[in-house]
Amino acid sequence: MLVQWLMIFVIVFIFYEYFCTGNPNNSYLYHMKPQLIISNTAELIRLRSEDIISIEADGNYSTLYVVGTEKRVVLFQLGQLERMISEQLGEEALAFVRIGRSLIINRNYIYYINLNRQILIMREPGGHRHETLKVSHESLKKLKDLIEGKEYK
Amino acid sequence: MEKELFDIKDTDIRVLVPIKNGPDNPKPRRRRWLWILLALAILCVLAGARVYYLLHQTVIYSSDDTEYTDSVGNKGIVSYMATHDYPAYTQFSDVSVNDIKLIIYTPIGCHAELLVGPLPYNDRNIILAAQAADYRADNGQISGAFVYKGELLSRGHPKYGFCAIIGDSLIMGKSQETVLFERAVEREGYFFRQFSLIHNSKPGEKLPKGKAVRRALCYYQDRISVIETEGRESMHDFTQALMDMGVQEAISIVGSVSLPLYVDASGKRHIIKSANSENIQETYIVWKK
Repeated sequence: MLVQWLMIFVIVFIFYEYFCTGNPNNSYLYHMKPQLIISNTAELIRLRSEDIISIEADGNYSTLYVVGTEKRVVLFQLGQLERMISEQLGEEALAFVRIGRSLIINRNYIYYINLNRQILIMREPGGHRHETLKVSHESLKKLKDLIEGKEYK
Repeated sequence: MEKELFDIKDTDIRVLVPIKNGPDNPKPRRRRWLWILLALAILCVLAGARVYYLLHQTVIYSSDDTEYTDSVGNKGIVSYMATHDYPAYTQFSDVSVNDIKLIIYTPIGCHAELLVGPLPYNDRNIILAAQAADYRADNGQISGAFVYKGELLSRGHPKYGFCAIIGDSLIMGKSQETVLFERAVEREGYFFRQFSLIHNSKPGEKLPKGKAVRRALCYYQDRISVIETEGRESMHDFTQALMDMGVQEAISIVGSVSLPLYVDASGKRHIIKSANSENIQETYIVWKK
């Protein structure tokens, strides 16, 4: 009996941090990969980091471009979503880049950058859908440097 | 501190970094107590706000026809839609004010809701139907915020007048921000925006010029009515006529030949169709029995 309690204690001790930090709702059923939960009183959206292509600000709302779905409007400001990503996705948050005041992108889906035309094209996995975004020259230059592994100024 | 952390210029980029709130960064016990006290204080404030909200909500939904003031101080008119006056029909009358002939449609014994799409002319439950929000010519989207059964179909507020339908209440008013928008989303209600013609018996917002057949959703003689001009009138003259006849609250709705259906007291259905009106995508406010 004592050994059983000791084993349980050891397992809980080992995985305590992992359960608490890897998963936003502290449920071990979902501990395999952190997920972003966007929730208000009326609805809940649950997404993995690879589901999100980009997020665009629109005043008090934000538009989520999700893999396999057209888009979804949520009643949160971009800054609030940025915080949710940082808090809930753990290391997966590093995949996301905030560009200026109105855009967050998943850099894994960057397909094409053109500084002269000031466009950034995001591509869905499998190449089924492209999303063309208008971004300032300066921001695009910094993004390009980041992707190339250069220090951006 | 948080503001600094999340501030960004338009020309900047930054890679998002994880924020750990977990036990990795243990804090001294004293500070933890401070956080607990702060959390309790916030909880008390939130509980107080919730109590205030619930008390306030009771005022709105317990009365039949009354004035309403929401939590941010916006005033409007609440009309409780009683459905016990059977049979349901549209009371039809006309009146001349300032040489302007006005036709008044008052739904009796009905409840209101919004519709999007072609009007189902064969739906026998519809007692009165009128077009509600405008469609924008530039992008084909609904103009202003529009909520349909709790679903946000359009956003923005280029016009100050609003109409919210939540449960059995139809609420009209004028404000740039109103909690009724959020409530319509939360409670599977309806919400749309239009020009405010009259607010608290005073002129509403600055109105567009030009003459056309005008139509408005009005709070008149303790009931919600749709009032339209027989001829082409300016928005200003229409508003003045409504004020002179004693309308307390009014928002414009789509004018011209856009009142497509009403059922009179004898049960006769009056249908006004244009050539392709069965296929046109529009927004309607309909009263059903």
